[in-house]
Amino acid sequence: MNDQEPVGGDALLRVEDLAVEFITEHGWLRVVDGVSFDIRRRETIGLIGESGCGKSVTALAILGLIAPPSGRISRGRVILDGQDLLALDERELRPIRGRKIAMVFQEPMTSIDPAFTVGKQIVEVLRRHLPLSRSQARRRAIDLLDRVGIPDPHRRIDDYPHRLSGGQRQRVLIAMALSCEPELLIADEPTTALDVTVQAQVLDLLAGLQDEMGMAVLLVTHDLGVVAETCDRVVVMYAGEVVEISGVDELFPRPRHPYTAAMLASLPGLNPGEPLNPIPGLVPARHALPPGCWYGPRCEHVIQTCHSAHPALVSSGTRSARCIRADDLDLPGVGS
Amino acid sequence: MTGTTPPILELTEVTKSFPASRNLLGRVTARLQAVIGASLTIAPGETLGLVGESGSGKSTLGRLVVRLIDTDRGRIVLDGVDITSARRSELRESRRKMQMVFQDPQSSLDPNWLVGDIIAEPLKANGVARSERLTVVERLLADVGLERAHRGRYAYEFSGGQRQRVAIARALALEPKLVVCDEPVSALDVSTQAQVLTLLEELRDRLGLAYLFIAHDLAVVHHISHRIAVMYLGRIVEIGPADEVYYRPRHPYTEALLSAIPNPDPAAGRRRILLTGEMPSPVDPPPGCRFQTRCAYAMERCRVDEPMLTSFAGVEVACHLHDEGPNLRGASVIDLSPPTSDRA
Repeated sequence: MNDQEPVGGDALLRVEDLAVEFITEHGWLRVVDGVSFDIRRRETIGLIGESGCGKSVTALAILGLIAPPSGRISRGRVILDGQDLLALDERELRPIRGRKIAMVFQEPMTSIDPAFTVGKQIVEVLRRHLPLSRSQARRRAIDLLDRVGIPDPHRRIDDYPHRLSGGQRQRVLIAMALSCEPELLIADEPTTALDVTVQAQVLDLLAGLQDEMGMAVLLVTHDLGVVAETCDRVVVMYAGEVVEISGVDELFPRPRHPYTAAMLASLPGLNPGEPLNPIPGLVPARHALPPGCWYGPRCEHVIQTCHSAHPALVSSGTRSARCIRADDLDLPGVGS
Repeated sequence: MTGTTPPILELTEVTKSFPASRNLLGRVTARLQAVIGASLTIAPGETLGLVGESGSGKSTLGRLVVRLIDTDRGRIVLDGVDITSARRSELRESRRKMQMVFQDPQSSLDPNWLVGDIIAEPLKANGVARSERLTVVERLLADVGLERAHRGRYAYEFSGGQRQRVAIARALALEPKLVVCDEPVSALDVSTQAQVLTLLEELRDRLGLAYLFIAHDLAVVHHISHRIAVMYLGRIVEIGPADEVYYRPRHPYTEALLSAIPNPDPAAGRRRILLTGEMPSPVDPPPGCRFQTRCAYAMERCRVDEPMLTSFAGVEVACHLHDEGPNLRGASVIDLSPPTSDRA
């Protein structure tokens, strides 16, 4: 994916000024706030940040999966092929979900129904979206299992999910997600529950299928290593906002937001023998956001001005950063 | 580290299996071999990292050490005392010397207890007077970077990183010499993970603690460990100084494991070894070397003859490549040292 020819500039999906709120003991709290980015055809975008930063909620909102009454999308548009998905009702969304946009979640055991065979579940997805007979769909399901590297697919298709290992279940989920050759795959921590050697196999599989099918991928993850190895561009979120957008080859060596730089500095293994540089403190609670920059209280480059006004996401060339000091700071990255 | 001081922990040929299936009469028909013939030592103040994937037996080994489960065979010696088959009453003294920190503080700490009570619990169980308990709890809170006022808060009010600090404070209450940490930072975000790792290092250096640090994340293990042991399907396949194992792996499985770690440097372009297939079932391990079904270098002999750990200048490895075929004799299968590293 990294070494693929440059992707075209045409956006496949555009997220515009998205805001999502959830009801809490403190009233409606905004957990995603003014998020905008686009995904180009064939491109892999990494959506990264720590627990609670809003990355998974952003992915769910794109899929129209923010369920009232506990959650609501209070602002914004999600445009796919010129159509605002947020303006569609559930009945209109259903053919888009699965057909044009597919998803893979972290925990394969909770996304697969344990009561039905693997084959029955894939056949159901195929027949919901495509005009296939039962036997055509079954043949296609066997072919899909074969493509995602399930050994002996003729027999495994009639297995129940509990007979598969974690890696195989994730392969089955990928097979289900890709069964209708979607234009965009949203993968939320698809390899987080897997062992590292299995993760390598699954990432390799995804990259191969992406090339083959020419789809775009939105990869939601906390793993900076996975992002560096698989993504073209990266969207970094903090406390519900986008704080940096950048190409992967620029982000890692030369981060422009102090939070990105601080996350990189806290990774073990980048500077062998050196002590780690943890980020002090905690992510602010949504009902108690600090004045000015939300990262300010934890930032080692903070100056007085940072506390006076909330910074905007400012573009410079192909990159954007939400930091008033982005141009003066020469932040260390990976390999520097 | 392996000088003249007697080890704080010494395992000799420790083996553990679990019943995997039973017949109608309740007789065991298959056994899952979780740990086979594990031998290792940890010196006072030393950190031994134990890595491996799901099913490698690393967590079982940790549980055997703290005697949460009993060994089938082998010997566990803690601070000079054989605790292999010590009874509950005899274990009390040993338990003071050895504590455990688990992966998920959410489930290892009762959310409805006050933090002060959680930390004081082991003190109470060991008959420390109430007034003294309060003093110790305050000192422990300060030690792990929490505030005095946190004593009166509930565990559920805390973030994951803070809860892990509470778990560490509880583990340190009885001033142990050895702490078994089972995936202590795996559930934490990267910045919080760095905070907790830094705390563990600081406490180790200040209190002279030894750690058995069990984790699947090799970068984390390399960072904190003096030595690293690698397990595959119940066996320790390689054990040696952290830099040796991490940069110059002697076992093909260690090589594959290291090459699978995603590298946060997009310019790195590292060679990736994709293992074929999956880890075989520990109920029915393959004959010969346990890694032979997935090893790119497997020879005839590997299919029939199980290699034993052999020592080569401070690194132990269980692999036939070291005395047959390429006859590596302790040389690494690959050199992964960073080009700029000036560390010998």
